Amino acid sequence: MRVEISYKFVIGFIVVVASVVLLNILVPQMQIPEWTHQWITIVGALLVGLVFGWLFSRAFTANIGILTEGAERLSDGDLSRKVRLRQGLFSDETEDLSGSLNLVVDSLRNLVGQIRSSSVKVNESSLALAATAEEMTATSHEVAGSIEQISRGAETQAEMVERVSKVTKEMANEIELIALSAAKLFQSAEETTMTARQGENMATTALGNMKQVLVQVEDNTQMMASFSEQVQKIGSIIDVITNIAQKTNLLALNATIEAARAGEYGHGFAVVAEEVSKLADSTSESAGEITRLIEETREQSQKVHLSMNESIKSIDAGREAVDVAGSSFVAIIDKAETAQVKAAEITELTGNQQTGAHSIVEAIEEIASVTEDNAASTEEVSAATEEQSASMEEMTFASQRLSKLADDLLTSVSRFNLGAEQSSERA
Amino acid sequence: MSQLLPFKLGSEVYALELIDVQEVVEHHPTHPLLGVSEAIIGAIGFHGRIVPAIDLPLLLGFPAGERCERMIVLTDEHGPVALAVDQLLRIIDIDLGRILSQSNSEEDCIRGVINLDGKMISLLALEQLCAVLEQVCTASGDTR
Amino acid sequence: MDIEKYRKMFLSEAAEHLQNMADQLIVVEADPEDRAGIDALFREAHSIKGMAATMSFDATARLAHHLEDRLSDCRDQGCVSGELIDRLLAGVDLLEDLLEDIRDQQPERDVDAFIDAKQPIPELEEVVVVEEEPIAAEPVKESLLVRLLLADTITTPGPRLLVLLKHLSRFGKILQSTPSEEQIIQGEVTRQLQVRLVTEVSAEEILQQLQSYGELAEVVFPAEEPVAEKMRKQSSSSSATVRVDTDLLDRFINLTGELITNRYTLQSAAGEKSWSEVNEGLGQLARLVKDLHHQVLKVRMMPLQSVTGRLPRAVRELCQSSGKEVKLEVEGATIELDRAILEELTDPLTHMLRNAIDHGIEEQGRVQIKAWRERDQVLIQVADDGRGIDPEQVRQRAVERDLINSTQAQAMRDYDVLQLICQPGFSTAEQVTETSGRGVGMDVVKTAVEKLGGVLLIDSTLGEGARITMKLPLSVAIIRVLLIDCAGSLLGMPITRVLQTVEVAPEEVQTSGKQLVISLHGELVPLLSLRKILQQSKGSPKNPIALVITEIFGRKVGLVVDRLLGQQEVFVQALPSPFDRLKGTNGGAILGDGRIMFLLDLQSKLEKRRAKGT
Repeated sequence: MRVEISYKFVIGFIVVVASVVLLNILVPQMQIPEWTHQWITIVGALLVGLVFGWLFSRAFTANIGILTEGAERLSDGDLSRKVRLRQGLFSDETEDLSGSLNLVVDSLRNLVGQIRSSSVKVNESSLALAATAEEMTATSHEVAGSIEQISRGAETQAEMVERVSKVTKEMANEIELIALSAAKLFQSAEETTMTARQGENMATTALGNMKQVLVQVEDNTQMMASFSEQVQKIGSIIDVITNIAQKTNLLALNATIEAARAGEYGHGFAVVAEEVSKLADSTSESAGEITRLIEETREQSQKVHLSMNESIKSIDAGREAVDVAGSSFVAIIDKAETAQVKAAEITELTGNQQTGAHSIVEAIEEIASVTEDNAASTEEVSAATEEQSASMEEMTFASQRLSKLADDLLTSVSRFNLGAEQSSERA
Repeated sequence: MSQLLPFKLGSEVYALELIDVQEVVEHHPTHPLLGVSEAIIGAIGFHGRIVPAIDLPLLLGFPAGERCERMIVLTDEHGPVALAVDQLLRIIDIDLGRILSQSNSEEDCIRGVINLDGKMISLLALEQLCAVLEQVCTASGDTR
Repeated sequence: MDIEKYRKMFLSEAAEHLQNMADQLIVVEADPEDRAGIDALFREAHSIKGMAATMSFDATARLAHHLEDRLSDCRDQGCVSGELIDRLLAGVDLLEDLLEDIRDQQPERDVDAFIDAKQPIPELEEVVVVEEEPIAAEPVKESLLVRLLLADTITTPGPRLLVLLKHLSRFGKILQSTPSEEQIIQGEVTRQLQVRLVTEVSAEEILQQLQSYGELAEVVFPAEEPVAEKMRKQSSSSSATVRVDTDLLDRFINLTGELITNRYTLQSAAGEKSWSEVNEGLGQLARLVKDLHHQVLKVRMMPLQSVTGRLPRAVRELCQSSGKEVKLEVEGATIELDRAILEELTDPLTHMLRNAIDHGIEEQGRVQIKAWRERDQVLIQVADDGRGIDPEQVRQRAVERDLINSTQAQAMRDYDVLQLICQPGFSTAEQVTETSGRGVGMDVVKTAVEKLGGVLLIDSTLGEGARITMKLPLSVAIIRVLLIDCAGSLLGMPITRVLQTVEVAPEEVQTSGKQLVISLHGELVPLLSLRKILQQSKGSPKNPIALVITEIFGRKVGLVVDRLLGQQEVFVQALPSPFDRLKGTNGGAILGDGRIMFLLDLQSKLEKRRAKGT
């Protein structure tokens, strides 16, 4: 609670008074003898007054002492401590005073602090600047060096580019050649395909013809077979006839025998039997001739059959050959088409490659031009760097000066003691 | 004039009088008889009767061989028996007076020989033949 | 040709008449006063005379006339004397001889001698009637049949034979020779000479003497054969004609008609290829053929009488010659048998009769011939009430003759022992009489019976008599045979001869001594190989071995054959010449499929071997 000093005086008095009063009231209450009442009251009053006074003065004095101390310090430049009054129950103007004093201290402190920090900063900055300038100098040296390197490298690069360009050009040429070949290949594959197709067609036609021939030959064979059959039938009929002729012969013989036994009655019969026998004989002969003719015919037809078989064999062989040829053509066509496809692919690829090569060449040329620019630029850079270097020197110098200034400031402010905070601020 | 049926035995020509021939048969299967001489082929079925079949060439001492398919069956008087020969020839008319000689060698069973245009035809003696056959049959089984 | 026909007719009719005469004479002899009988005799003689005269057979006519005259006298007299009966019988015999001559187309023999003579002709060269032993002039001397066969190497047999003939004539009297001397001189010869000789010299001696002739391949003394052959010829020729019922003939005509119809039916059915109709037609045909067969067989059937009819006369003569009194009874002679069988029975019956009279009956006795039918067989029994056959004696004799050994003799039953008398060469007669006892009697009977497919049963009771029974099939033409395959040839054995057929494993064959045997129902039966008997090579060994158990010479044997082909009924035909000479085959048949089967007569085949062996 703030109580102004005046009031505190007042209060004190009041208190003493009050205390007397109170004692006057109280003491009677107490069982103490009355005589003492006054004594007590007076004593008490006195005590109280003393005490109060003592207390107040003490505080007051202390505070004033502190205040004084503080101001002294301040004059010394010790801004490290604030004025701290003794805490009492009742603050008063001293408080205000201390406050104001503290304020002053604070402000001074701040100010000094700021000045210090700023100067420090400035110092720092100038140092940094100086460092930076040095760095930059170094860097620009480096850059210069790099630039040199670059320019050197650029030269090499240019050479390489040249080479690459050349190589790439060659490659591009070759690719073109390949493309050409591929194109030729495609063409010839096309031709081959065409030819092969033609050939296939011919083979098919040939096969067709052969089949026809075979069919005909088969027909012929069948006709021969049925002819053979007929001949065989004739043969078997002839056999029957021959058989009959033989049997007739035998019958005629037996008839003659019977006729002989019949004696004279049998003569006419014997004559007839003889005729029958002759007839049977001539039949046998004719049958024999027919058989012979059949044999001959059979031989002939056998020969024909054989030759037909030969023809069939040849045709079969031919057919096989044609078949083989046909399939060869098909294979050829297949392969040619594949070749064509592949050739096309190759052409495409080479095309791509060519394009790619061109791009490379372009890129290379760009690089080349870039390299050239690069070289030029590095020259410029080099020059610029040189300038920058000079500026750097100046800057360095300037920063040095600044730094010096900051130092000075610092020095001037160094008097002030900021205490712990100072050091912390500094740190 | 009588008729003869000539046939070949081996290379020689023999003949029978047609009067003595009953029939000529062909392709008759012969059924073998065991325990008899080889000259006896067996028996054939002839109009439901069993008729002996004789290999005439073999019987008369000619070598064995393939005989003709046709067999001469003699009249019942002479058996009947069926004779297998090598080959049958055409019937000839002959004047029996032309029989040259009456040789009596029972070996051959020949009754006589006829000369026909240079060819010698031996006439078969049937009684002898039958006797020889009977002998062969009676002797069957003894000599072996 | 016409002459031939008439001759045949004449012969058959005349034979019949003669037969009737002979029978009638016997009847009349029993009853000499039989007028009717005498009349009948007269008529027969008259008929014969007439026929012979028509045919210009003078001698026959004359003889017949002579007999006719005699009979005419008897007619007048009303009776016939015994002597006259003899003479008439002799005359009948002579007439038969004459018929023989006529049949053989020989000139008729001389009859004057007979006509003039008052005595019955004692000497007859050959017997023509039923008896097959020739009644020789001197009963004691043997008539021997000699057959000579010259070696193959001989080129001219003629002269040799002549020489041999002359030699033989030195032994005795030559009754007959084939070929005859004239024929030999003429050169109509083969290698064979057969001579019938009456001689006192024994066969062995003749054989010995003939041994000196190097070119002789064979000398045989066949006893029965030629006569039997003659017999056979005669009996077959005597039955060359037959009387047939007109009913039967009508039935034949009808059958033939039906067969012709059937033929047309079959032809048209076959032409239309309508097989069901063909089958029908064939069925009908089968029926008709069966019918026809039946009818034809019937034609062949003749009553036993035709054979037994001659027996009374034979008995009469036997009685005369042996001096015994024997009564003959014939029962069941109406029974009908196939004539082929009947033909074969004449010999056996006569034999048995002879045996009965000679050996069975002592002084007096009765011989009963009974015939009856049992199912499909005919049984003919000859029974006498004489001595009977003594088994012991038979045993002894058999051992003596080396037919069996004494152990076998002991082991055999009496019944089987009796069968031994049928072995050839067996005879218990001490004395060889003119009529029998030559030991050739019963085996002929047995052979004949078995040939007919029958069985001979001999039964005897000592002191009471002997009974010999012939069991015969009704038909000899159709018999059931067992078909056998042997080395590719088809053979058949009558079922009646087959005791058993059996198949054995090769392991079952044992050896007993040198003989292969098998054990059958506890008996050891020896095995014979048919192949070996027929001189074929050994066949491939068979498993199982096929055996036919049959009886040979009274003993059981097992015949090893290649294959048994089953049983069949076959129609047997006699084998024609020259096959009829073959031993071991006595007939053949054509089977349904055309194959020819030969009937196997094992015993005769082995007999020959045996004979040769001895």
